[in-house]
Amino acid sequence: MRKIFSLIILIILALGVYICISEIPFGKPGTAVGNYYIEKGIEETGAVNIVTSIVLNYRGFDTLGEVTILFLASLGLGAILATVQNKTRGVITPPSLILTTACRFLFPFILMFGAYIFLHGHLTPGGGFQGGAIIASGFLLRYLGCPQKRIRQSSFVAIESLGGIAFIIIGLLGFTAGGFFLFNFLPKGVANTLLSAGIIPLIYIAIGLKVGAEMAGIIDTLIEES
Amino acid sequence: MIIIITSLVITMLAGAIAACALRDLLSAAIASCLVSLAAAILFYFLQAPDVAMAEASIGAALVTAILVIAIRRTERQE
Amino acid sequence: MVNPILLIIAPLSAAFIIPLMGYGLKRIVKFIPPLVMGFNLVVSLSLAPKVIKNPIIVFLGGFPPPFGINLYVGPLGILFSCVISLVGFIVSIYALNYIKQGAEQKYHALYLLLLTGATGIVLTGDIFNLFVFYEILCISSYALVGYTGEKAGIESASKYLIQGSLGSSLILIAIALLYGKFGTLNMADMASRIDSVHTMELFFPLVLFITGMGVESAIFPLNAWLPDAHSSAPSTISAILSGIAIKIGIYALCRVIFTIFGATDILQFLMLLGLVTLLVGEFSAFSQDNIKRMLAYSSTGQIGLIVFAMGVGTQYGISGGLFQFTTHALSKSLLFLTTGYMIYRAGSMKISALEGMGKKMPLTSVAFTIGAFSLIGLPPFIGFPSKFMIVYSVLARQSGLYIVFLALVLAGTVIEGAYFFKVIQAIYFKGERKDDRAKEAPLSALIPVIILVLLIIGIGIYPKVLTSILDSSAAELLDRIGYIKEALK
Repeated sequence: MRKIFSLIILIILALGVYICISEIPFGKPGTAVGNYYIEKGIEETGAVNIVTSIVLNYRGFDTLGEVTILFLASLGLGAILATVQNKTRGVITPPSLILTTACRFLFPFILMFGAYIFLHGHLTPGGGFQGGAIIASGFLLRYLGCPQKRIRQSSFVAIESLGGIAFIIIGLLGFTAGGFFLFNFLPKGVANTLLSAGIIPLIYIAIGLKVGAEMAGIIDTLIEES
Repeated sequence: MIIIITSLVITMLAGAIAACALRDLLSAAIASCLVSLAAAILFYFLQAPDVAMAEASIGAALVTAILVIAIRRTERQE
Repeated sequence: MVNPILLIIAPLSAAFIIPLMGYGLKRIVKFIPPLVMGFNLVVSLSLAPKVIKNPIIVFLGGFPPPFGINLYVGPLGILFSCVISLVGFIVSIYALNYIKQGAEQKYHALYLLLLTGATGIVLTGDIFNLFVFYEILCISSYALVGYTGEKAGIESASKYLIQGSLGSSLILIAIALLYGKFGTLNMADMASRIDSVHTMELFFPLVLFITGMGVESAIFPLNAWLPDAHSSAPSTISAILSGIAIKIGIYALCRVIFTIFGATDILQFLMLLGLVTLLVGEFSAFSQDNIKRMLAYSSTGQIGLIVFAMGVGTQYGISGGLFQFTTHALSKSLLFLTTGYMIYRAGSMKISALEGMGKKMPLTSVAFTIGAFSLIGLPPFIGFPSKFMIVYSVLARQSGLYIVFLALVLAGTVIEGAYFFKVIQAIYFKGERKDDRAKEAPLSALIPVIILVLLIIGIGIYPKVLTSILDSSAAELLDRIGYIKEALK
């Protein structure tokens, strides 16, 4: 009975989505706002990667909110897990020599790749979120390979907070310089060079470090508890 | 092109159904990882490399790791 | 003039700073939320007179809508923002001595983020931005419900988390469908294009919006999480969740229905939904013997009343609904705050355990009684003018169906009166307390309670203070064309 009921609901949902999207053309440029971004994006923001120009300039406030959501997730997880009782430690099999050595060898390169991704966010695909996630996956590998080497939880928290504060301060500087919060007040520079696009690289450095610290912190909290 | 996209979508659907149907939670977590991985490749073919990168690193790597850690702490069977 | 963006930025940056203060400054962390909320209250009140005349549009990043994100600070937004910062301020004073267990520092950061999310939702003019702040509000509520680490708290937090995230994903799908249709995310731009599309294609996104936002605002049958979540959290959190968080869901719902879709055809359905929620909430509250669960169910009932008033759809009805929102925010936070120390002193949440509290905690008991009377709608408290406005607006429609609805609403009010009198009777007229442990609440808890009591009586005697802002808020909701013109100027 329950299965039939959920099947009926599923069919209704699928039908509803189909009715809505059947009229939308697939893979064709069309909307007014989207065309504006494509035509004016590089000129107005200086970022060659249009996705970045939308994420950090046109809709920068959303990005601040999304960064806050991630911060909130790690904060809430920390708050709940810090108070949970019964901390039982499971048996940990020590990692093999191959894993440990490979992990030591790869770890700095993964960090470097992550930093490359968020530093070049305005030029190539990628950015703060992606770079941060890559850095966090480097930390995940480290926990698997060298479980005894830990980084203090408080340093993760400090980087998270400082990254958030840096984002807000850059926004407020734009407010004093141009009258708008998150205004791109620095010179746009020559397109397609590393030092271009005004505040975008600065914000992406803040986001990259923050996201990396947050996700590594979440994994650290979970591993510590288990 | 259309063949690649179709096979990726079928992989995603199969992974999603397997994740729901499997009683072993560890296998279900790996199946959901498969969905993310196929989605990442699909995004790449649909010319959205930014999203593909995020989906691959977050959906396939970190979320799976978190699920596995959670399964280790609780029980493996449903 | 102060820029309204500070209303969002101030609590947000304070929440980012709090985790850094772990090193040596731990003792002053708890004074940050009252300071920030006091600042927000002053800013909102100083903006109110200007905003009633002309709404302020703030461009973020310097791009005009629909290309950038904008804030639409109209009378409706400023009314909600005033109430949010007022209740946030009062509850944070109460929390100074009340919050002692769990991760204290993280509690304050989460509390500020919850209020950031609520303020962001009511001020933004962009539907995706609304969703982002909605997520901030929801995720901080989940964390706050479970942060004490008790088993009941974590269980209800996970229940809330599952239902809430399902609701949020429905909203996200709806936004995606609308974006696919219109290619814009700005609410005013979307509203200006919505008439060009066939109704059939708009019906499904609207259903998704109502279902998704119905979860957060606990409209029946999506209210299963509410009684557990609100009763297992500490009282300050129950107060802020009942007083603010669920009403923000109603704000979002009204924004979508009235401003974006202009869907005046479904208002009767909204009325019916409100009526059912009201009756279910009041009947369930009547059968509870746990006082916090009773108050939580009573919140469901009040939400039903607000939705009902919104569904009337006239200028006067919507004003009444917004007035009822203010009433409930003040009265319900008063009730939760007073029961907080009563439960603490009595050591149990059972109504029977509160017998004889009237003599031991006289001020708190009087304040509880005032809050209860105000919710029932007795003069001279704030609940009387708001309920009167709703009743009057329904009668003004002069239709048989509406009269039947009204009779059912009044029946709900009678039940509400019955269960509140049950508690008041237990507090004052039943049993004697022998133990001396029960003494009056500390001063830091009495000051916020007294402020709330004064506000409830003050506005109840002189409801005209709110008239101009309520009227212009209702006008903002009803006047779609005006909203579009102002935002896309």
